[in-house]
Amino acid sequence: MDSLVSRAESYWPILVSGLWLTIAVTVAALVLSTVLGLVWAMLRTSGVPALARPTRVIVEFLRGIPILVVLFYIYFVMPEIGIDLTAFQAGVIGLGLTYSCYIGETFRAGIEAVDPGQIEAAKSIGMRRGLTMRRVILPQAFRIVLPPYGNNLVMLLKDSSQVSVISVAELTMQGKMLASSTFDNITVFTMVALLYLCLTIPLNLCMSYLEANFGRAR
Amino acid sequence: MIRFEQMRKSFGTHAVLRGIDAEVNRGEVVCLIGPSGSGKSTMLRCINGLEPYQGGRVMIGDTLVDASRPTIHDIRTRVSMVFQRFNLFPNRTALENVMEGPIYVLKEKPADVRERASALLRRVGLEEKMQAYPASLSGGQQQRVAIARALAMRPEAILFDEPTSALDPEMVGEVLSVMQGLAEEEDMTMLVVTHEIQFAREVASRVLFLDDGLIAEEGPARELLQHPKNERTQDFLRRVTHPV
Repeated sequence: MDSLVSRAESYWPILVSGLWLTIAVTVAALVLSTVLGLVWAMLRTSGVPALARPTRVIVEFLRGIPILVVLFYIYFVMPEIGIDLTAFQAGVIGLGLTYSCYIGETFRAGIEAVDPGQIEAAKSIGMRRGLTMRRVILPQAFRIVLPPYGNNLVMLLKDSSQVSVISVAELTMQGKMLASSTFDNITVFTMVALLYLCLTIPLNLCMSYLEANFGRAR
Repeated sequence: MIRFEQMRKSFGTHAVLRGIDAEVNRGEVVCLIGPSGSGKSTMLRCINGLEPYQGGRVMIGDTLVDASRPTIHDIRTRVSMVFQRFNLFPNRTALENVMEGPIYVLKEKPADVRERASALLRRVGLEEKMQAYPASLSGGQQQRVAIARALAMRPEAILFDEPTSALDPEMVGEVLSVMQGLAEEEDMTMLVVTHEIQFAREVASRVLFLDDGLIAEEGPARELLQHPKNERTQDFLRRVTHPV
């Protein structure tokens, strides 16, 4: 038992360094995917076919490719056409692009779920498209979108482990390396799993709280 | 100030309005009545470009209403609308609903707008409810907020699209009396799509009877409602005043 604690202690700093990188990858990919997702959603709900159709094609393409393949593509293929990326950058872009599609679809559904009467009301007081979006549609879509957005965030956090395949030294990667050098699979992977839970459980609780307090129209 | 000239509107191949000629003068209250499906709401919605039309024209003063042109936004600030289902912004208080247009569309100073919006809510009898969200208001109260929101734009005219049809019967009166006040005390120009024949008789200066996409009869309110000449009007009035 004593040795278990001391082993865990010796793994701790390495796994925590991986944990920070996991958080960094997740946050960066979340920002990228949210911004891009908002762009996709705006273009798709623009009512302008020249904008909506190409967006749909891009989104369907990206959604149809596994994350691993997207990551390999960005990390290994981009340098061949002269775009050098660090593993971290490639990981963030790959995850961000893939998740921008899921998040974009979530946003689109949220925007389309806003009562058309709201848009007419905005029009009837002379609001133009941009102002209607900003003052009427997005604030209401935000409430509708919050629960699925939270789900996406948790999934993104878990999927950030996939960037280990392109050698980003995040939590999963650190765990795998530790385990293969110590053969202490039980302790290492239990710790890795628990560390993920330390992030996902509070996130889920936080989302339930937000949903209960902001998710409904007052 | 609102003029229809041979205006036509169709949804696909279905002709809804088949050549409307009508006029609403400044300070007039005109009620638009007719069987459901006759095109009343559509006609109203063509005035502020919520619906495009295909033929003839609709004029607001000297301005042509064209939903595809940027001028439509200016027209909408000149002609407000009150909807059947209120369409208040659910995430904003009554006061914020009324302040929204003047602040963000007319770009007026928030402090001035707040004062005017409060006065308008007082005017429609909702002094106590300024900070309430729409969901906590009754239908009648919501519709009165919607009227205040329309008035806050200082419109030249207000379009009412069946403003009492979604209300419980006991709330119809409070909304109609606010509308009557607007007509009588402020000479507001109003075009009202309604089934409230009593209201039309007492408040409207003129009544238009729309049937199957055409104005079948029009005239001074009392005269038309008491002695309709057109057979369709007679039939319609008989049905709405003596149901079944």
